[in-house]
Amino acid sequence: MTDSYHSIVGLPGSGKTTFLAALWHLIDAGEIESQLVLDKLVGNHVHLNNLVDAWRRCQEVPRTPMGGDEEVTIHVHQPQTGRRLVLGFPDLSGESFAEQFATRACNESYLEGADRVGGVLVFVNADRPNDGLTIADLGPAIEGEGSPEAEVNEWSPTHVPEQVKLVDLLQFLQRPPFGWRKRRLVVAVSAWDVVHSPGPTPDEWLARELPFLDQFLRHNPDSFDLRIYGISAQGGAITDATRQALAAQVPSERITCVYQNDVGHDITAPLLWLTGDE
Amino acid sequence: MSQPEEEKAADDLAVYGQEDSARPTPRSGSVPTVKLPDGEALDEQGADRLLRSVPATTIAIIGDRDSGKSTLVSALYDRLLRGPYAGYAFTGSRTLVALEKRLHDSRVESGRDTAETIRTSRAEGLLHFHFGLAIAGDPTSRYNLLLSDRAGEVYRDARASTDLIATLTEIPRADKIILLLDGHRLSDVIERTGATQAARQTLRAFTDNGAFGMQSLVQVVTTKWDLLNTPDQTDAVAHLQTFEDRLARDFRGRLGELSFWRVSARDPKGVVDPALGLDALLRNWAKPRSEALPQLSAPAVSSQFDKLLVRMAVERHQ
Repeated sequence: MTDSYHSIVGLPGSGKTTFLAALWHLIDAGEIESQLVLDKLVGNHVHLNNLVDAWRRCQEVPRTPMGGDEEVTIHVHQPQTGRRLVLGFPDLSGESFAEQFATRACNESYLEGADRVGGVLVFVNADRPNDGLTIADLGPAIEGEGSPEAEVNEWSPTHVPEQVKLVDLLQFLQRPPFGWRKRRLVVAVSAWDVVHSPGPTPDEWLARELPFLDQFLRHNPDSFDLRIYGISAQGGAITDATRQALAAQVPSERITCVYQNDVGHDITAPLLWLTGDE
Repeated sequence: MSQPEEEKAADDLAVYGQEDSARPTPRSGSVPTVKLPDGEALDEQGADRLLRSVPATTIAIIGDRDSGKSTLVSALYDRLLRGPYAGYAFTGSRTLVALEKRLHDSRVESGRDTAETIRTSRAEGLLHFHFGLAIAGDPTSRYNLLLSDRAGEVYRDARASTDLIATLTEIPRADKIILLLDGHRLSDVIERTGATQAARQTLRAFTDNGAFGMQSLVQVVTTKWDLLNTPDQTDAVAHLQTFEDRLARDFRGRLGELSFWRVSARDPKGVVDPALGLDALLRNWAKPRSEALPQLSAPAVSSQFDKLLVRMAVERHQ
């Protein structure tokens, strides 16, 4: 049995909890062939079951509140080899990462988790606002035309673009008090269904949409071994019009997992790679 | 891991932790927390720690108030946020929070309708901003840049009272010196001569008092080029050209290098390219110092002892 504890990093709304709900269904339901399947039910799964219940009903999976999150442990095995793995996922609250950036401090449990064997799963949402725009980006027509009484916002951590926060959160892992080691790292681009086909590959998407994060990850090979996946854990936007159609599908087939040009449903593939195997 | 990879990892491990020798003490409270690096600009001691832990090129940016020192730093950061710039990719920064704070007043989120950069105050003292870079696509070619910034009033005072020059610790530490000439003042016929004289007097004061010398690589950078690169500013450009020619005539022989650059870090009208000229500067900063130093005439090597000394110097350099 190999324990593999993956750190999950992502800001609020980046898709962490929905991913976990879809994963919990997929490894248990046996609807599609996956590289990892549920090995045994051990421990308390109330939290996971609540999440997956909403997911199966094609409802928005409830976001994880800060302080209300629980460490999730899933026992899986690899049918091809019989190898058993324990996947551990820590704190899933996006707010806790936003606070880590703002307060320049983290929980001891996060520090201990990051030092355990396993990789890093970084979530970003493909359906995201364009943050970090400069006044010059809006063009000269807008510059100087505002009201002189316009309220000026003092700097606060909430104004920092998502990609900068993620770079900083990952930079923390490169320095004490975190232990130095090379980590496998998956960027999971959630809500991949909003990236219309034919569109960019996940690699191309990251370079185009979050170029600062992309540069950082690609130019730190001593710290990170990188893969980028496009993941649609819900299968599409949930609206009154789409919900029935989504629910009519085989649940596991709603899931899309894209790596380079390969499209499938198996979201255990990135986790298996994070554990050190394909 | 292959043998070279192991060696590289060992090198990195040797560097790892030197800057942060102690594990931060957990804070008291209901949930144990661990303090993490603050991401703020580095003071002198912070810069020293960084320089001890990684090789870095240090750039001292000097110039009068409002000459564009902080904007130059912000413009470089802004370009890197958008992808590799001038052939270089971002690999990390110890001062990411500070860079964000500097750029904030140019962002839509600031609520401003005109881009601003908050000036460095005298009370802040000497600040350093760190950029970790690599040649884009070649992560092994890592390179650290440390840009210093302090209030323009301090440089003005040092020009006027030369005994203050020795207190400017960024000067002897700098691999390259950036002397900024305010393009906005150049564009104003009333201010023009005062602006160029301020730059000339700074160069003279620092050279006469030993802060600049044959070891110094000085780059005179005219900022806000977008204000000068227009048909109604031909007089200003001619004035600038004459100023540069005279500066070269009078100071090139006293400095390791004296070169002239023009940048528009931020054009509010959006007419010139963003960060125009900054790409050439960055490429120059990345150039190893040995390539930029003047070629001194080689002394005659005659004895075996001379040849041994030369060989030892070459081997040390390699």
